[in-house]
Order: sequence, then structure tokens, then C-alpha cells
Amino acid sequence: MNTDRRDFVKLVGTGVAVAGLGAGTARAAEDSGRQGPRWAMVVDLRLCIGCQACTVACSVENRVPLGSFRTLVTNYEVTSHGEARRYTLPRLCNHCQKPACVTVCPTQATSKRADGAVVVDNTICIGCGYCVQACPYDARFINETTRTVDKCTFCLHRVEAGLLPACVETCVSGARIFGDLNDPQSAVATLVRKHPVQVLKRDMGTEPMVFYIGLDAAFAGRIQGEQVLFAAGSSVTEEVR
Amino acid sequence: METKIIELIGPGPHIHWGLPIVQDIFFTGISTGAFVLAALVYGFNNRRLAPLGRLALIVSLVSLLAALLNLIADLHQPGRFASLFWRMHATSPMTWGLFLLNAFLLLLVVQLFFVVRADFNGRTRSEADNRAIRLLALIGLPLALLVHAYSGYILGVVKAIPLWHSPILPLLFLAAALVSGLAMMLLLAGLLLRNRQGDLPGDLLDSVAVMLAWALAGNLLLRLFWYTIGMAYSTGPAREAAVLLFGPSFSSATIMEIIIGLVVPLTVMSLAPLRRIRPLFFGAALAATVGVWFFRWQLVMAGQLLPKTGAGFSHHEPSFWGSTGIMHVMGNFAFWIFLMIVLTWILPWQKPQSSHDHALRTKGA
Repeated sequence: MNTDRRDFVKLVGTGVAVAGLGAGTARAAEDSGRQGPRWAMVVDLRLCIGCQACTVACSVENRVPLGSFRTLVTNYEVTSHGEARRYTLPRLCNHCQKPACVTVCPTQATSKRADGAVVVDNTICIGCGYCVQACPYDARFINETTRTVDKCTFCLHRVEAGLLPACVETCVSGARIFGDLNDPQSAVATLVRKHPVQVLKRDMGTEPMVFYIGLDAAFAGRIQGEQVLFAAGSSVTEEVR
Repeated sequence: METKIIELIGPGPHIHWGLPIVQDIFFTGISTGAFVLAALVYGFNNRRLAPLGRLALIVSLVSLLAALLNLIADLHQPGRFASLFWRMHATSPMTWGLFLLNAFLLLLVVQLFFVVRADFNGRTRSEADNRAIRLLALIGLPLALLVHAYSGYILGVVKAIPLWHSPILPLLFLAAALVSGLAMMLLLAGLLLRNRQGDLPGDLLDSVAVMLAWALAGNLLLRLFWYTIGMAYSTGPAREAAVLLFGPSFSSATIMEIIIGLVVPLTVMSLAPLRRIRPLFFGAALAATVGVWFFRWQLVMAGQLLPKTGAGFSHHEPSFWGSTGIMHVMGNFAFWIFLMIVLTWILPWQKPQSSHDHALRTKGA
């Protein structure tokens, strides 16, 4: 290699290194300078008793139409080695870092806020249902009252007033923990740091912001089991009437 | 010992896209398939198919209009439909489709205008008009293919639904569009076209039938790739999709779609002696069209019958009434027939197809 070529390689190498360092530094500065919260939830499945208090509190707080749910505690009977046990799994919008729903929305009615919450502007939503299809977590539905897409908002109206989301507030066993992941002292940040937390459907690449402690791998994706005996919402209307 | 799971309280069935979406995809497919035929006439000067040129353009336009109504009807806020234009989202395939569909609609209207305006003026078509028609056909062909491939794309990008999430879907959609478009043109030709002797135009029907046979064969080949590479040799949820197709949905997915919709028509269209048995020939064309409808139905519905988070398979039967019921399908077909009657009544669709043909006929006469 002659001197000119070597100098050229050095120059290009230095340039790439400086550019990379610059970008990295800029990102680090951006991260450290981030003032706002990043809302997240931890669901400690070791504590959940499947009472559905969260389901009811959410539905009442957010006036969710009968038969639809922003959050729901799914319930399973698991038989292994001749012994049956109950398994409960609270589900809600995962407020993903890379939400599939936001990408496909044709009117930008659904968006991700700076604080991490994924929200729907129901004054813009055309109700096409594309986001409902794209969500891997069955977390969205068409609200037949507003005729637009509906989902969990982390109860932002409460959070911004200094309160906890309704489901967290009401949870009798303290299985739902909500807070700011950017605050290292917060309960969610501490739990995520200290426990080997899991998320649902990691293979979807959506990077959920709802973390689970004690999630059985058999329940992290689609359930390999028998058909539902009681679909949530079915026959609710008849019962109430 | 194996662990057994029974879902006691689950998220329940989630059927959000129903018959209007099936109808939309079915009719955009016919629109694309019919336009391919029109493009062969006007863009590539295929004389044998010329008597079908105008009818193909009309079918393409009418089918697209009937399809678009479904999209609006399926919205829960149809009044906000126009906001799609100014609130567009670059990462959403639905936004791309909006422009493709509207561009194709505009092109069809303009092309039909150029094709028929000389007849309304009572003059021979000018060379400038002929050039415009050819140019529009050549631009329209890729646009028509994109319009329907996009329908496959819009489902294909949904990674949450394993039956849809496949790169082969846009190609499958195009193959199905050719089948349904060509089969529908055969049916309409049988119904409306007669030669000077008052008989069915045998050569013309044969030409379209051979094209249809190739489309059916391509469709079957793509199915083979999809079922094997995409499902049987795949993992997890994709394999479950295959179980759904060949298990609970066997009657519609295998019998209606593949045997009645593909294998039987392919056999009839490939063999000249069978093609000459006219009831069998038109029955096969009808079966191919119905088979493609079932393919649309199967794909849209079965995709949603495999719960994303819940256990087992869901079950869905459409209601009779309502915006997503069977009457919606009937209404949509009625609208399509109504538009066909109006346009074939208003427009001179049986006139000579080009100035060249016109000259030939004049000499002959």
C-alpha cells in the first residue's frame, strides 16, 4: 500500500470514527437530557388473584361499552402431572416502543406520545380497523358508542392529575405497578432492574412497555390450548338485562 | 407428561373485517383482471380479443366503483372518509392504496372517454386519440396490477395474523385477480357477445379460455408454494393456519377454492373438447369466479379466526342483515349489475375497437 492510499484509508477511518462517536455522544446526551417520564407497567403474576377488579374499574372509569374491554384478566385451567391449577394473565395495551398499530394507521389518528403512551385521537379516527388487525395483543377494539377505535390509555387523564391508572389503584393484591421508567427510583424501574421481567410476544419486535414478572413461557404468545369456554363479553348484555 | 391448557376467560373472537372487505378485494380483482384484457387490446393491439376491449374497460370501471363503495361502507366513521387525503400517513399501506385506487379510477374514466368519444361525435377516431388510448393502456397495466397487488400487500404486512403475513400474498392476489377477471369476461361474453351470424364468438372465447387456463395453473402453483413453504414447512402460528385451512375450513378452503374453483376449471379450460361443451365451459368459468370469491372470503375470515392471543379457533357466521351481513353482498352485486346495465346501455360498447378494425370492416362491407 503506498503512502497516499494509506493516508486516504486513515482519513476515511478517522472520519467514520468521529461521525460514529459524534452520533453516539449526541444520543447519550439526548437520553440523559430527557426530562419527561416514560410510562410503563409491571404486572407481577405471582400476586394476581384473577379477581377482575381491574377489569371492572377500567370499564367504569373509561365508560367502556358492554362486551368490550380495555383490560381483561384472562383465565386458564392448566393440567400437568394430573394436577389442575388456575393461571391468570392480565392483558392490556402494551404501549409498545415500536407499535405496529401506529405504523399502519392511515390518518395518524393513533400515535405514540413522548411519554411512551400509545393513544388514539377519536376525533380523527375513521374506524377502518387496520390498527386492530395489526395489534398482536388483541388490545384494541371498535367502540360501538364512539364508532372509533378504543384502547387502554394508561388512564392518562388520571395520571396527568397525579393519580394512578384505575386498574392499578383498584388492584387488591398490588399485582399492577405503574410508574416512570425514566425515574430510577420509581417502583417500575426498580422491579424491571431487579427481576428477570418478560413481555408478551417478544418475537413480534414491538418492544412492549408492559412487563410481566413470573410469566410462564406457554402464555407469552398464542395459547396452545382448547377453545375458550367463556369468551369475555359474550352473554354479558343478557345477564345485565 | 403433556400440559393441557383450557381457556376459561379469553379475549373472545375478533372479527373486524368482514364481508365488505371480501367484496372489495373480489371486485378490485375483477377490475384488474378485466383491465389486463383491455390493455392487451388497446396497449398491445391484440386483434383477436378486440371485440372484448370496450366491455373489459366497462367491467373494470364498474367493478372498481363497486369495490370502492365497500371500503367506505366498512368504515365505522364513513363521514371522515375524505380525511384520508389530508391526514395521510406515509408508513401506512392504506394511504398508498388510496392514491393507487384513485389514480386507476381516473385513468379508467379518461381511457373510456377517449375510446368512445369518436362514436358520440359520429367521426372516425383520430390518431391523437389512438395514441392517447394506447399510452393510457400501457400506463394502466402496471397501475392495475399495483392496485390489486396492494390489496394483498395491505394484508401481507400484518405480522400479527400468521395467515396473512406472507410475501407471496400480493402474487397470489394477482393470480386470483386474473382468474376472476378473465372468467367474468368469459361469462359476460357468453351473455352479451354474438358474431355476425348470431353465434357465440368461438375463437374469442377460446383465446380467453387459454389465458384463463394459464392463470389457473399459475394460481395452483403459487398455492403449492404457499401451503408448503409458507405453512407446512414453516413454524408455529403459520402451521396452525394450515391446520385451520385444511381442518375446520376444509369445505370452503379445499373443496370450494381449490377443487371447484381451480382444478375443475383448469381441466375444462385446458382441453379443447371440453371447452366445446358450452354449458360445461360456462359452468367452469362460473366455478372459477365463485372459487376466487371463496378465496377472498377464506383469507379475510380465516386469518381472523386464528386468535392472536386466545386458544383454539374462533367461529364466525355472517348475519343476514346489517352492514356486514349477506344482504350487503347481495346489495353490492346488485349495484354492480345496475352500473353494468347503465353503462352498457349508455356507451357504445359493441362498436369497432379501433380505427384500424373500423377500416377493415368498412372495406369488408
